[in-house]
Amino acid sequence: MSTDILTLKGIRKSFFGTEVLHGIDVSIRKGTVHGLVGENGAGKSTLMNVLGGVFRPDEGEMLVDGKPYAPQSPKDAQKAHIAFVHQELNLFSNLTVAENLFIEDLPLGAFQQVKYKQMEQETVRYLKDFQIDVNPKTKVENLSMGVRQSIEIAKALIINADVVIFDEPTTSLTKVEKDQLFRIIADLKARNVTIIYISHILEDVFELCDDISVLRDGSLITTMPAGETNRDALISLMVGRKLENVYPTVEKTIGEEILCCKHIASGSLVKDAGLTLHRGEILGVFGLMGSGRTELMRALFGLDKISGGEIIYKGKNFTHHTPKQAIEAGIAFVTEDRRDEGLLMPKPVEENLLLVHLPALAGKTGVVDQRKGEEMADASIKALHTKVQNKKTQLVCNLSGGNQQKVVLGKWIMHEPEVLILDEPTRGVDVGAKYEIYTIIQERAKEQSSVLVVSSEMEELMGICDRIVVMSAGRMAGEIECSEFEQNSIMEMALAGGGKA
Amino acid sequence: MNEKAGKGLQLSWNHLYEYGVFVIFLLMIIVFAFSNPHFFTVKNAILIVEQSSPLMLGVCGMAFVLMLGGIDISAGANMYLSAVTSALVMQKFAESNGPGGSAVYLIGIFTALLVGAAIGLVNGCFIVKFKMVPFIMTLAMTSVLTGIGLILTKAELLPVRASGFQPSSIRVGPVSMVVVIVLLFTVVFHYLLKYTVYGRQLMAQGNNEEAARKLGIRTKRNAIIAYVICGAMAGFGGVLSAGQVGALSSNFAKGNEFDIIPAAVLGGISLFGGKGSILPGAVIGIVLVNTITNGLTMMAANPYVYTIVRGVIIFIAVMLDSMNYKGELR
Amino acid sequence: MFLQDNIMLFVFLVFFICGMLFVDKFASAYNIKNYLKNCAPLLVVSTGLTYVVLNGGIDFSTTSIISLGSVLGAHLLVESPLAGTPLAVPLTILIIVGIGLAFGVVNGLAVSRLKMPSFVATLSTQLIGAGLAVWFGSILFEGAVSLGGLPEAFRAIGGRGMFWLPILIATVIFVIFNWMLCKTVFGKQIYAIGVNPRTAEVSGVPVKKNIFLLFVISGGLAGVASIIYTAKNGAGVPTMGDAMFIDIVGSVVIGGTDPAGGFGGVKNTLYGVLFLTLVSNILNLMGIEWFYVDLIKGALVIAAAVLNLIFKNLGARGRA
Repeated sequence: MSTDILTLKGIRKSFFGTEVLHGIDVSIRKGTVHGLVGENGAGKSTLMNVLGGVFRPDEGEMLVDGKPYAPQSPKDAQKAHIAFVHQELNLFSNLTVAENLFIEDLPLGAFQQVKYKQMEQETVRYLKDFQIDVNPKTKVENLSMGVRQSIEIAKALIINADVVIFDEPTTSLTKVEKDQLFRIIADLKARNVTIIYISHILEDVFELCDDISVLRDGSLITTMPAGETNRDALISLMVGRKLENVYPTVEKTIGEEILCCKHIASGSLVKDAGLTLHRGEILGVFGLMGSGRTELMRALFGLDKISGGEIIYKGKNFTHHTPKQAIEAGIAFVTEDRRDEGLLMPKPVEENLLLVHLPALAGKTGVVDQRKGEEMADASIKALHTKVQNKKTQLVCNLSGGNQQKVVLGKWIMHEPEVLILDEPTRGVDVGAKYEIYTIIQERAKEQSSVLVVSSEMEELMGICDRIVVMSAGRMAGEIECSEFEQNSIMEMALAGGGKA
Repeated sequence: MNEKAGKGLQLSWNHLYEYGVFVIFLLMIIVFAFSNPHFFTVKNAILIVEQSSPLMLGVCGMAFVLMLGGIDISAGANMYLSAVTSALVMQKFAESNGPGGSAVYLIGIFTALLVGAAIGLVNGCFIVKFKMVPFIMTLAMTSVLTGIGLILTKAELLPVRASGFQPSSIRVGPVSMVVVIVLLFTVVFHYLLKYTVYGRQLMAQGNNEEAARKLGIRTKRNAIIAYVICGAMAGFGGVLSAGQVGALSSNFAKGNEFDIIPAAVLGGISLFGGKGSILPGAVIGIVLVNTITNGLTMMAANPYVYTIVRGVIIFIAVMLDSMNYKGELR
Repeated sequence: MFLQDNIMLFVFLVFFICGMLFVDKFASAYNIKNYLKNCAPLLVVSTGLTYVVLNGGIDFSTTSIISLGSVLGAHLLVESPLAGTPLAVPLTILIIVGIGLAFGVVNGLAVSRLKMPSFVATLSTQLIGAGLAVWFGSILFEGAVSLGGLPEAFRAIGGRGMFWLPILIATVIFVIFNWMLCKTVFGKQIYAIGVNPRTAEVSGVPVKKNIFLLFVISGGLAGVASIIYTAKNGAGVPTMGDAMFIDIVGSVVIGGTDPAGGFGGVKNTLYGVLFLTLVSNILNLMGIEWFYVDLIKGALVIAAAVLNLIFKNLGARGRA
């Protein structure tokens, strides 16, 4: 056994009153690649943000090379030679490639001036490791997403790190770029650098990692050598229970076609996507990040402009519409980003619940029927079992993730939509509330609403959907009926387009 | 993001944005040149440069605040109060030490810098620490600063030349000392923005504050410093301008922010943060604004036509700046 | 919640009682009438601005609408061919409100369509409006600083002979716009846009249209205020609005509307108007010079904004 470079003891962290890490203990061996897996919202990213100095833990201690380590900022993490490649890009589009690489530690001359020439030469040298041919003077705003991601990684390596954390690094990379990344990781390992690799793509984890830790609902379940486990065992550890127990079922019938879209193109991610949805059907849309699944939903709802193709809704052309028109036509959209697109965080529960339904509460006069609104809000809170003490004073930002999501669902369901689009409906939601949300979805379907669910949790889709369509690189990669659901084939389809193009 | 389709469009807007300003500049000069024989002369050009100089300092400072996506509307009031305090300090100094030489106006400049920086510090602290909306904070400060200035002067005319403060009368070649000082400072601040860690990190946080904070860039400190720089430069501009004018009325420097802000925006510094530079953009901006004022004066236009033209300039400049904006509408 | 929402009402009442007890000549019918007459037009224009501020925006052009309306209104009433005809007063009123609406339309389009930040868009229209006001003044008034001799029917709007008329107008406008904000879909959607325009858009709120309307309301009400101010003043003055902005924005912010948007309302602005006008009135009676008054107003705005933020943060952190 080699020595441990990193030891975490009893790490706890809470957000907005909800504890998301319940005392994590983990040790990481020097010079290994350590995989960190778990469902979305299991606490992987939070734990790594604690390690990277982005968040401070509420409790617990960390040791680096046996010495205490308590980073107050990402800068402290860097000083301890811990580098962090974030999931989302932290680049400055107004600056050049070279400036982005060196922004934290710009090389200075005798007059405190930035030595552009030296910086640019070094940049070329670093980027060579990635076989990326970019002029260091190019502004980042003029680069493709793949190149940007590589620059982000290069940035983390520049500090001579002993530990490099990769948080879902492959989501926006092409196949070629991904192979490059794996080569670099192998290279780093050969130089005795320790890697922490977070991913939901288990194949990659098995390919790369020496050890694997499994997180579930904010607790560390186990740490073991990769050779001593397999994919199925890992999945059951991540989920912690047999699949069939988790998902509620209801008796229902699937009716006629309600929504059909063909050859939809929108933005840069959706190229040629189409699907059909029937009354009472729950249709899952699976795809890796960057496959265009979220963007397709946004286009269907009228949030993003559609540049090609057509949508047929209830037999009529419904292609170029605004969100307002979509709502009036009976379409609802629970967005991926609950905090920034779903809710008015600093406002009370009632105000949030009634937002969509306001025009309906008012009718033609434009005057809102306050009493009816209150009744409907009460009914929604009761029906969805939302834990709210006072709907008029309690602010949504003070609710737990699960209850926040119920408020979002409540505000849409109040409007009795015929098509309910859900984008990652259980992200950041605790297990109990997840089950309730699945129940709510099933009940909507039973009442002949159609549901479109986007999720990066394949198990979830398999548990609740009647049919799953798979998107890859902005196109439809396949379709599977309920009886034929199988993880491997779904993942194969999702990967068919080579991840993100 | 519609990257490919967006690019072609963006390019053409960028071109319009980059060159549109200069086309306007050229057209106006042509109109003025034809309408008045004295406009297109060296003497008048020097006059424009002299008049632009104190405000150029304000533009330099404002550039730092604009890089953050902030704004400082109190720049004009700051110039006024800084000029008043420094004039009073010089007066006191001259009274106790007799009419001094160069030391007196150095003390005056020092006072103005200090007062301006203090004002900037107050603005910065309230905006950064209390997260106040910049234009509300600096608007309220405008009232406060003007009020203090009027109290100090008892709303009477305050002479400046009497205290021996005449850097504007020292000639360096064809121009005055003021122009040289300002050019020097312009270069220094251009350097600060373009070639130092502070300047680069300020640009970075203006582009993506969240990311900058994650990287450990001290965003709050940087932002406060930007407001301090803005305040100090307005103060400095105020004292230099006071030297040119010779006496401080209660209208001194009033509305100068309406020259400073459009000058910066015309020079290519975006109101949305993270874009632009001091050289050459901002310099061209302030000269352009002053050329227009000068040209209108020569055409003997009603003084209130300037105000209208100023309004139109701001509108057009900001409209061009806003074309590519994708954020919230406020 | 009640205390927090109505805190400025209590502060106002305390100041009012202190004024009654300790300030000479305050507790006279003449002064109280005068005080209320001063509140009236300020309430009208501040009510309009409140709508814009609820979106986190600002409308600087209100002051120039007041000036421009004053100049053109006086001209129409006194010197134009229209003067003296029975249609003069109603037409003038319509035209002044129309000027306000026109400014509102320009501002609204600039912000909602051209995506310009409201503080610069309205700053430029303010400069243009103020410039036009003085320019027109110099042409129309032939060198005079102001133009008096407004017909009595018009001056009544400002309270001449009937001191209650401007107060009634302001009250009616306040009630209508407070109702609109509290009870209608449009009003409730404004709060949503002010807090988070993305959530609002996803929830089916026509964000751009509503933002456009905010500026139209602000402009229109500034036009109405221009009428009252001009009538009260008895003369058209090209610089009438020039120094008013600190009072207008001060009423909104001191009343408790969050300059960052989403919180507050027209009711708060009423308290702000009552309080700020009271401060001016008392300082005036005490013989304090005008430049102290400006200083105090500016400081009050800063203090109010800071207190507001503290309250807001307490609310968001209170129940965990």
